Amino acid sequence: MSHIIAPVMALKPSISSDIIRGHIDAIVLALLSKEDMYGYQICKTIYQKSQQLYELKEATLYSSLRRLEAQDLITSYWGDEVQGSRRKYYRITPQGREAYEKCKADWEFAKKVIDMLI
Amino acid sequence: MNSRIQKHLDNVFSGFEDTQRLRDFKEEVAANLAEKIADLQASGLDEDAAFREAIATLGDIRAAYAQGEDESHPRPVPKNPKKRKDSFNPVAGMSFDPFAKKRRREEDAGLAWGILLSGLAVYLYFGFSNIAGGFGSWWLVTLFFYGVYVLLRGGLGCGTLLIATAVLIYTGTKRWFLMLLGITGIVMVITSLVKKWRER
Repeated sequence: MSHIIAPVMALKPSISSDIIRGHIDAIVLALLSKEDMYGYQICKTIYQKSQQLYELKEATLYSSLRRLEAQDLITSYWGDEVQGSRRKYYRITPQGREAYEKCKADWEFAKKVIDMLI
Repeated sequence: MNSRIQKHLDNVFSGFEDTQRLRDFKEEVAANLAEKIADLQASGLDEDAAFREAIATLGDIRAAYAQGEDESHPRPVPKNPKKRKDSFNPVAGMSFDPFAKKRRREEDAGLAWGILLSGLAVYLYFGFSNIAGGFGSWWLVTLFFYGVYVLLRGGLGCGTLLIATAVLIYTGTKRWFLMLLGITGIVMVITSLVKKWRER
């Protein structure tokens, strides 16, 4: 059970982290649709873009990346850093872009309906 | 710092099979950790505190790694280091001596098979009635009741075999019983093979 609870994000005010976590794959696809990124860069960007409200644990990100890669929505390649350790970059595939557009449409729809009901 | 990260990751994944996939994953995590630690140090933490903070907020990377393993391979690799992998033995777990400790069971089963096989060899070599008649039948009765005893103590396979051997020797050349014994033996071996296979 602990491994299920462990990756819960450090979330500041009382937004339910579960709701956001259910959309992690879409969030990762959204970021990668702009540019290729490596793991820590994705975490950092999510933290900054959410104005420090949402902090994604690396382990949760790695799970999401493996999932997306298995579905061929993203691919990965090693960077050519001259010094220090190599970084692994992720790039969105054409199928990934399609999936992202669909996620976005689904989210817009859900948001509209939930706004009407809650 | 890089060697400290490496050491930590080696420790975290110590129970996992050393594959190229694992080495790649560790390299990826290490590079990200190094940058995170550098950021934490830039925000004012000392090196040691930055390391500990970065590790503490990492999350369960073992689960993240194992998850990918499930998707790319039919069988997950993570193995329990405490669980000893037994060498192949179709009669493992069959207790010959009911007082034997659990870890001795395999040897005992091997012993039982050894006695049975050599008994069979002697029987085939000298012919049956000579042996049984020559030694008298008291040891057959002993073998039979020892078989019952082992059976009652839970050594199902060996108990059955001991009883079967006693009955086989007693009934002499009855072919139907020989066939029954042969079939029982084959069924037992197949059952233990299937069990072994499932345990892997």
